[in-house]
Amino acid sequence: MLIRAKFARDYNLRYISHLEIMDTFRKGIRRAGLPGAYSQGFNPTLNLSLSQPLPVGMAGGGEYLDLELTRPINGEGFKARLNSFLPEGLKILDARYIPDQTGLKSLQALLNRAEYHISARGKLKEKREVLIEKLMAKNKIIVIRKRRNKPDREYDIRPLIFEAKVLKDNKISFIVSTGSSGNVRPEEIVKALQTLEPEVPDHSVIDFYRSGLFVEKGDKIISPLTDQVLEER
Amino acid sequence: MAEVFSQIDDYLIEVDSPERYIGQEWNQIVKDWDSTDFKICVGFPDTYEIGMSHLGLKIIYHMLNEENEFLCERVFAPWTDMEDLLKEKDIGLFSLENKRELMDFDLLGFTLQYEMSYTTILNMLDLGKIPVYSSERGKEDPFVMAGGSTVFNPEPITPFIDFFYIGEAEENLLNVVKSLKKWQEQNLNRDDILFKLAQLSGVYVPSLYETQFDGQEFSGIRPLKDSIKPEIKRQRVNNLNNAYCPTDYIVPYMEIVHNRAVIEVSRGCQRGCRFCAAGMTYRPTRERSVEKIIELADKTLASTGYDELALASLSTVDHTKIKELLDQLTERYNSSNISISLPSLRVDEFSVEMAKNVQEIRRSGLTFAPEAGTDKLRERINKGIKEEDLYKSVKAAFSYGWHRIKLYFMLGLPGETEEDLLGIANMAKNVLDIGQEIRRNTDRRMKKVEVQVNVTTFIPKPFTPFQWVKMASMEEIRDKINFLQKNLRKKGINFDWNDPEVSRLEGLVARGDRRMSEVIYHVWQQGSRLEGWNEHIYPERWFEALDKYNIEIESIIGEKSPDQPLPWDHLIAGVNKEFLKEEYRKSFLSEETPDCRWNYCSDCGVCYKPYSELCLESNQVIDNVN
Ligand code: SF4
Repeated sequence: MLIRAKFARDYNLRYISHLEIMDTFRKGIRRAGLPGAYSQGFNPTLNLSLSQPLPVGMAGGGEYLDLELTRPINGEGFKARLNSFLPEGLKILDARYIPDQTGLKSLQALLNRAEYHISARGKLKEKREVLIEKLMAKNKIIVIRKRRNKPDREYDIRPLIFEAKVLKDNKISFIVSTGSSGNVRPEEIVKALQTLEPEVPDHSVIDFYRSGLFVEKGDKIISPLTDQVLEER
Repeated sequence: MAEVFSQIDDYLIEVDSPERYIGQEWNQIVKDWDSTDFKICVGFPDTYEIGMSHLGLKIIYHMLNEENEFLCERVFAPWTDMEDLLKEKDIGLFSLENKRELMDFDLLGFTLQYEMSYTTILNMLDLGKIPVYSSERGKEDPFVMAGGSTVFNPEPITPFIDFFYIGEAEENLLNVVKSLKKWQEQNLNRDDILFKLAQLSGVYVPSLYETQFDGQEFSGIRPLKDSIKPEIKRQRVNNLNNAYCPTDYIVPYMEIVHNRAVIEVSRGCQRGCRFCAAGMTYRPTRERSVEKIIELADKTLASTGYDELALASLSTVDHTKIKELLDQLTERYNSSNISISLPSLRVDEFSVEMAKNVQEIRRSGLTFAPEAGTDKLRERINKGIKEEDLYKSVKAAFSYGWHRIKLYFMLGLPGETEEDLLGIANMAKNVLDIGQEIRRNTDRRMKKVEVQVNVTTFIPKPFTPFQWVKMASMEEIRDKINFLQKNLRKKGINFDWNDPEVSRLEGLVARGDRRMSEVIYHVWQQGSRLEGWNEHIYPERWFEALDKYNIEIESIIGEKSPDQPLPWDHLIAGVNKEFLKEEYRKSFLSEETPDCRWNYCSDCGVCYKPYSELCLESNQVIDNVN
């Protein structure tokens, strides 16, 4: 038995770390008296797992959690109850009860697409249309990644960028790969844009917003709460 | 959200642990700034994770916020990176709730917990855009008050604090703050308000008193006017069951020092250890009833979501109904995955058994504090435990499955000899032997036995029977540490000590008179703050300043005669001076004074109310005393 829920972490809580968010949910679930299941062993904790960590400094609008249950509870009830026990800035948007979790992939294994929005500044704001076009026209985008105790490595992130488009209010949206099959960090996109136009100013993690995490299905990206995802195990 | 915060918000990504500065935790109380008349900010002169672990601050925060006419917000010391950022952006240190600079409040109150935090108070005032010296504050500035466990010698920080509240907040603090608000609304000037405050019970307005010296020696303190009371009495709660106690504690995001629900099961301790300031200044012992504790625990756990409950007190297992309490709590919370912890244990088998009953899960180490190495020295300090008691306790602990034992001792106690140091080494070795033997003979899997020995320098503190004792020199302490190091070299024993230089500074501030304020100011001017953190303490600055202001160290922490005036003589902590003198005298003879709850009253002076009015769970105790 499982509850899978979509949640948002607002801008005002962007400095809270992944582990702290996890802990905040655990305490919220306890306050709400929801029937979460505990791990076995010396240090029983609620069996809760979250989607890929949001970097400290970034807000997100389409994050996910899985909570194991000891008895059934419906999604709407879970959402309403938990929301009144969470601090302002953390909010359950949608929830689904999953009676049988056999064969269900974990969120982090399942979710492989992330959408980021960036509030563009300076030259990036001015030349956003052209720059996006140029970026997507490239065959290769090499970034350098530091690795712990190993030499730096070059990495081509072009195949991991699937979509880039200009939104209203100076915002740009990128859909990139996330998770174990390849991961693009938002700062790397800015670096890549800087190779096209050196005057693009540095944008840090706080200029981004992760609007959602998705599962890729053919040429579509869909929510992990959809029947299609839940049925395919 | 206040403007100051929007100027700084984006830059918080560059500082360590930005969660320290954002507030917005569950149960935080944010009231409307403009529609609240009187604004209070409570400050803790250390970082968020230390300050948020402090129970007294939480009580005051919620107690003041219960009143519609006030708002009460929090502020903690910023870490150095945040301090730099505030200065760079020219933003004053701000509160966590409405994000207002400290200068915008009507009243700023500091919690005094340890002597080395005083430079941080100065720094917070300065960062909050408030003049550091009281004498420089004007109509627009907040009143600055302080209280807490080191308030029993406020003299070293008197020039920076407008008034002190002496004693327990629940008793009279609300009345003090309400009076202050009323006088401010009547538009009285600052001096008149301070004069009026000085009339209230438990309030000490230092600018209305003057100190006298005879050369280097302190010779007295007296009020400047006849209408000012010569003595200030500690405020205390008589019945803990009726005292205000919040249950909707703020739940921090970040991992703080004590991240759990805390219930104060009793307050005070009457065992009468002669070195212990808390044991003297929080007398008498007052207990919460089992029903009340359970009620508070239920509410606190429900409103916070914590899965750990700590039963706090100076000596938790001394609660007269501890067994019944723990039985009820474990039964109640067993199924909800809540663990219970006992932060302070006595050195006896009973304590170990209590700990075993609750700490079934998360069993790591157990800590005992024999304090001194031989029975004789323990008799002298009235720590009434025998070497045998320790061995019985650790035997029990090892057989229940603990494998790590921590032992706390003090160095430099009055009358300490080499025999006492050898005693420490022997106790450690014997504890190790006991553990290893149990490990050899058990059929359970038991981890390697570890004994951790920690020593600190004994600091003779105000309002203890040792307040007249000369503090041991750094050289003496260093020699003792070296001696112990040599004698504790053994696999399985770990030896650790606190820097004796820092202890010396603590001693100087703990017993200091008003002259110390110049030293504190000077040290702060040199850039010192956050001195509870090893990386931020520069003892040489203190010694330079003592030199500069021509203060002889011996005039503060040297030996005093019991007939000499002391800088804290104008405060009444509860225990009277005659009792302290008697205890001091008895210490030379290694004569013990038993806990008055189970024995005769030793006439310490604390029970100015009939003892029977103070709430203890067991009636038998009251019979004994009467
Ligand atoms: S006055 Fe007597 S009974 Fe009261 S705390 Fe002191 S010694 Fe104990």
